[in-house]
Amino acid sequence: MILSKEDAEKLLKKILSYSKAESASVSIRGNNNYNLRYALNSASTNGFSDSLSATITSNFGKKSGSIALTQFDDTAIENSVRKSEEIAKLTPDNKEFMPPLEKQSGYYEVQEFFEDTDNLTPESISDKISYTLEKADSQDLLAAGLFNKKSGFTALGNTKDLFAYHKQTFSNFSSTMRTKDSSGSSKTEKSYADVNHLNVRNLSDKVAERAVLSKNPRPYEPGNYVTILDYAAACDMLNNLSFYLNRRSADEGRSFFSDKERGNKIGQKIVNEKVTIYSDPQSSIAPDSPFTSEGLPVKRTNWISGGTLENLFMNRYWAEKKNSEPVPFPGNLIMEGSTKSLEDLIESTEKGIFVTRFWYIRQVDPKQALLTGLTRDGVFLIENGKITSAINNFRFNESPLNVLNNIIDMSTSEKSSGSETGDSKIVVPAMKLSGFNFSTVSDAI
Amino acid sequence: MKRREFIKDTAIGCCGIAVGSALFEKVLGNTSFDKNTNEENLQKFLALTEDDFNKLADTAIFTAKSNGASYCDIRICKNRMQQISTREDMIRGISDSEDLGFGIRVLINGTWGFASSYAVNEKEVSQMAVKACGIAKANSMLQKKPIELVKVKSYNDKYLTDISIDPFEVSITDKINLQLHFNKLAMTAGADYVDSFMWFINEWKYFASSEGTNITQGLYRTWGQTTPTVIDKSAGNFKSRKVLSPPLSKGFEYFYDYPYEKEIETAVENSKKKLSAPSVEPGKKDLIIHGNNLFLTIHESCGHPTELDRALGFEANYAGTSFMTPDKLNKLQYGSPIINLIADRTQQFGLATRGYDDDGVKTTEWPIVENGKFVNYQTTRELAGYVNQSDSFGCAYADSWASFPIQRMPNISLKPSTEKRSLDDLISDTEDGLLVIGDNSWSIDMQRYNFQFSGQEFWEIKNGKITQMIEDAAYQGNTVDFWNSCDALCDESEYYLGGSLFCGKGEPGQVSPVSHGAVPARFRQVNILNTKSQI
Repeated sequence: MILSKEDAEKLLKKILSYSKAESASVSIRGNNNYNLRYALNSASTNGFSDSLSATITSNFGKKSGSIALTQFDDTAIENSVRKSEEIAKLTPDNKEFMPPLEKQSGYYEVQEFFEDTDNLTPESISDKISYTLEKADSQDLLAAGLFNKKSGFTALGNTKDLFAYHKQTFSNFSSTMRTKDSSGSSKTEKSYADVNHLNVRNLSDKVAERAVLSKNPRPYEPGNYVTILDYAAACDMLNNLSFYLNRRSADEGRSFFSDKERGNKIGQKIVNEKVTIYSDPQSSIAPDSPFTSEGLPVKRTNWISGGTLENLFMNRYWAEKKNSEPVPFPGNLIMEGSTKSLEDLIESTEKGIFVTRFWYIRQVDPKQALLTGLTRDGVFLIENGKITSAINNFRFNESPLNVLNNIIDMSTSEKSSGSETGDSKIVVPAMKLSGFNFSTVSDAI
Repeated sequence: MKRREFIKDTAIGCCGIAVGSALFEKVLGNTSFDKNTNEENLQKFLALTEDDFNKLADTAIFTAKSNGASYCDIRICKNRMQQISTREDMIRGISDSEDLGFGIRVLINGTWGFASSYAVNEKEVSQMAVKACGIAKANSMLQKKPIELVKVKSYNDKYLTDISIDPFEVSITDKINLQLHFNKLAMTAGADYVDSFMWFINEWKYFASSEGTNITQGLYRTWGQTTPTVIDKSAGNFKSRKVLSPPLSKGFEYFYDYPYEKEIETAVENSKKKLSAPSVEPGKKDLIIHGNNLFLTIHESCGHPTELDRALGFEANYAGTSFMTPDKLNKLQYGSPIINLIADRTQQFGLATRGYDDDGVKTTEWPIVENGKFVNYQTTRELAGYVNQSDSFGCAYADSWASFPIQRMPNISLKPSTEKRSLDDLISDTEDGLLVIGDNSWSIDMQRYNFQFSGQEFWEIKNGKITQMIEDAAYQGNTVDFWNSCDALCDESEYYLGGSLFCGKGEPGQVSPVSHGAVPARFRQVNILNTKSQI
């Protein structure tokens, strides 16, 4: 259920009108989602869902109690508000309690809701996917994938008259095409708020072409090689880096960004000077909510500028303790690229490995920010500026900081999806690295 | 009327574990709460909405059939999830959510259609039934092979997790106080930081189908964990070791049954040891894997590859496929002859344990690997026909009213040795090796060949004795080689039931709870990495 700004505000005020607590805040979320999955060149499962839910948090002193509502008649609302107050009174003090925010002004204008995305129907989506399945059939490939459409809104309010409202759409297409003998595989995935950016035909053509190219990979020894990470692979590395940008863990001495003398590494050069990474809700290709779940305005934040660490995220409590402004967790992540194309990066490479995607990335050692994971859906050998053959998959043990340090060249930036980035909004270039540590061979395809 | 009792009495009555009851007497001694109100909760769930569930089901099925559906089911679900986390003497977060709604699934011309809504009333049920039929019709142009469901008996039944204490009847204050008590113990024992959390999950599920089935189920799951961290400031180093308490299908009695206080002390003591432990010498070594680490290896290297939807290619776009393709069924020597892996959705305390799956199939037990040979997959009504089976093993599950049921993992456990053998016996019998305890990070490829696991603790074994703790180790292997290198298992006295509340699969992503039982086992000449020398 998508409530308009006016209806959402009305419902928020109604819920808050029952409050007898010292302060209270409410958030309401609603969605209209539809997805279609396909596999073995045929439709598989699908689903439409209509949801509406609210959470009320009541506070007394440093005590808080929250409860979720899914029914919105007057009795249900009043009962829930009372319940949250009872819970709050019974709960011990939260030493790090922060009172609800005062009314905020200056939220960025963000356009993340697009009618064309909202108006997608099962018929129009089925139509798009039929092209993908025909393409797979024509190339003797097996396609599996997803088309996912979401429309939703979030509204926040509290007893201090704060009000914030944001609505957004989301369209996502992905396709994995495998050769029938299971000797080759390739995947594409893109998502945009505006479905008009999503070119299903073009993406289907490209993934089919690369799937054919990935057939019968030849064995290749693990080692440390010049490596080009395609957008999806670079995207997973950047996403993993974002989890380490935690100011408190750094200040407490339990992070890669801890510094023995100064607490944390803000202000220090941590990676190659080519690297600039920031968040900005007003990004035109990856727009994001202009406020946090507490209603704090989200502004442009530079994380790394010219290789130097500029900011780490921290909540209101930690910011107050550090006499500083809170820094919200990155809503989107944008890394600046160059003007070159991916093809330019390949052409300029005498010998190297081209990794299209990663998979199953897990932290091995937080102190070194060491990750392990695998390559997936196509690894290729580059010789004299050309892709000459498909090679086997590898397991890697690497750090995203090492990756950013080893950059020797980049392409333009694109809105991308990694294997484990979910709905995160990430804009990243393909990266050429002076080295990347492949530790063992993986037989999987 | 609800029966109210003191928690300490309940502890003795239901669990009889002295450690637990002493702990609770100390921390929550004067708290009273409701004893098992499961049956009452079931009645409450069935009376949740103005419209009777059976009437809503009749509407869904009637509407779907009149719109051309050959099959229809409806699930009305209420999921409650409570998570409470603390650090040191502070509350970190409390979240308590409840989610109610229904989903209708139909088959038209062998194509699925599914529609769901948060508004549980007759009008919406009727609208969603029409919508599901419309979706099925819109997608039938893409259907190459019509979906066929294997037969199922019809049931009129209910199923409730056998719990002693409803965790939602225990106050948040008591739950926080218990965690703060755990945290204090850790700090007193020498931790620099400590994080604790508790999860309580309750699923109510009403299922009715056009084949005459009508089932109501109430499922409970509980998990608590405490992780101390110790810091060596002069070396700029830090180490953690979590308490190895697994999530289980239990009520609040969970906290009585586990020797929490003792385990917290061990966790702090061993984190300190980790700070000064020497780095592992990489290479091939004999590895004894404790059940509290091996459960996860079973999950990743046996659980996932024997999901039939993966093996057929239905999950190729995200979770992946499987090296265990149908041509290998009854042929592949997956492990050495002592390896028996049993799937069981009726196992006591198992997270995937319930009465019926989300196809309305009665749950059961069956072998996956027998004497080392791969003999069965996990199936649903849609999948069983692909391997010429006339009945489903009952593995359909949807994590919410808004999710489409897909094939999810049953509890899969390693059968203990029938010969008497303790962990000490196994260590005494090992000349040069390592013992790994507790799960930590894991990573495995999309066909489930190549894996790398680390652990909470690694110990060196020389000439049948544990000599010292070592650090920075991980073991890496290929599934079939690895399970074939297993030459000894402990007996059932060493059995550990581990598990995960949030195993991810499907698109859009769904989570599913699953348990795995294991005993310590020895694997010969496993590849050990030094994670410090990787970069």
